[in-house]
Amino acid sequence: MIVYLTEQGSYISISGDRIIVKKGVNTIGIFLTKDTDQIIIMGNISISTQAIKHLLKNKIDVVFTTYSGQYMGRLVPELGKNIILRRLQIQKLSVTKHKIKFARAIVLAKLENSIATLRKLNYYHKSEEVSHILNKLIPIRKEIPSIEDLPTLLGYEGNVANIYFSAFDYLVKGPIKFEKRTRRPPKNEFNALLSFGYTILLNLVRTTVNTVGLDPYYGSYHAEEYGRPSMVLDLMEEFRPVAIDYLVISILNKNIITGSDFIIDKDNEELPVSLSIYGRKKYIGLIEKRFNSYFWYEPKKKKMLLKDIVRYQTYLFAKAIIEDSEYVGFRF
Amino acid sequence: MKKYYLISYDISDDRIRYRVDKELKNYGIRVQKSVFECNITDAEYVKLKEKLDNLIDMNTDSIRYYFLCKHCRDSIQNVGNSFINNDKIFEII
Repeated sequence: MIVYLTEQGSYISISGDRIIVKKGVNTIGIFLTKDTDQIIIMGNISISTQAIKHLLKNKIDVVFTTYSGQYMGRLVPELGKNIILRRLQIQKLSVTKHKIKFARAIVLAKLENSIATLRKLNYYHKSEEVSHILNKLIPIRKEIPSIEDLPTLLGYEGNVANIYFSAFDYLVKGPIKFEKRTRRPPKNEFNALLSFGYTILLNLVRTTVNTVGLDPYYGSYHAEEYGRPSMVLDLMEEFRPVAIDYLVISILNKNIITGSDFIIDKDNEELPVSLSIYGRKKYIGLIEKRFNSYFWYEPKKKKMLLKDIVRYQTYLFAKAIIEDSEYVGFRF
Repeated sequence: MKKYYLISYDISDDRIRYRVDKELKNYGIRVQKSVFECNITDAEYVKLKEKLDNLIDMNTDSIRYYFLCKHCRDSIQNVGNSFINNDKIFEII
């Protein structure tokens, strides 16, 4: 069970084998240690030393994020001990030949998933423009395997993202429109949903990267930069359309999330649009439901939960590094 | 693989009852004064049973373990001030 704590000013303590969340004198949640896998602490929530010790001892993953879901750090019972894997990762990904191989697989998987997402959404909408955009995207699929250097690949990816995002406005019918992708800060409701969703997804992938024992900061497709978790961003790329984009468009079309779930503050430069407390809880619930839904998974030839697929893909990446084999991204 | 147990006790000594209670609270959810519902693995069941066996007085007290299959569990009915306990995969507070 994953526990998200968003209630500001609450307090985590331990009684016996139970995790108890209190606000003031009221107990707002009791969880059994044996059932809890991960606790995500969002914002100003205090935790006692006793509780920290208990959670470390029972190997419960505790992630600290800001109120808006931005990752800050985690309690690590023991860091990934697989130094051999980490050495191989840095060795392999330093060689351009291997680096480009992994980067290509990632970009290709993202493109395939983008196409599949648009197709699935367009099945109901039957918009001319979207089929037009799909026709532009499909030929790129054949060009990617022959690209040999990273800057060209990056150019292709940027191009693909632009074309892909331009289809969104034809797919949402409600009052909330996509307009264009804005981040840091997101400037409208649609972008606020995307950004918040991506941060939650990032936290999930980060956990799996940590458990597998890969180094989160050294990736293949994203260039290394101070403090940027390139490996995590790499592995997350192929899940963006499947996990978040599809979800955002469908919940907006079904009017599950509406304008009243947002707080709009035009004077605030840093965060002009944000989700309200109620909206955040609702949206986290929807994302978790998406993570816990079944998808056909080709390598295992069976249906698996999306979050298990994310974990398995990370294992496949590590395996591809060790065995020097081809990495194949997840296909939606 | 987790299994669903309904555990009820009848214990006369206050001190022993308190201890049994404390132990059961870590494994499941109290649905009535002396009835617990626990969703536990076989290993946890063995551990819990061993702990409780050592606590109680075999001459006066009793603990009953009922194993509920999935079908039995889905057909639980309750009347009055009570709730049906279903396991969640995530929880937002």
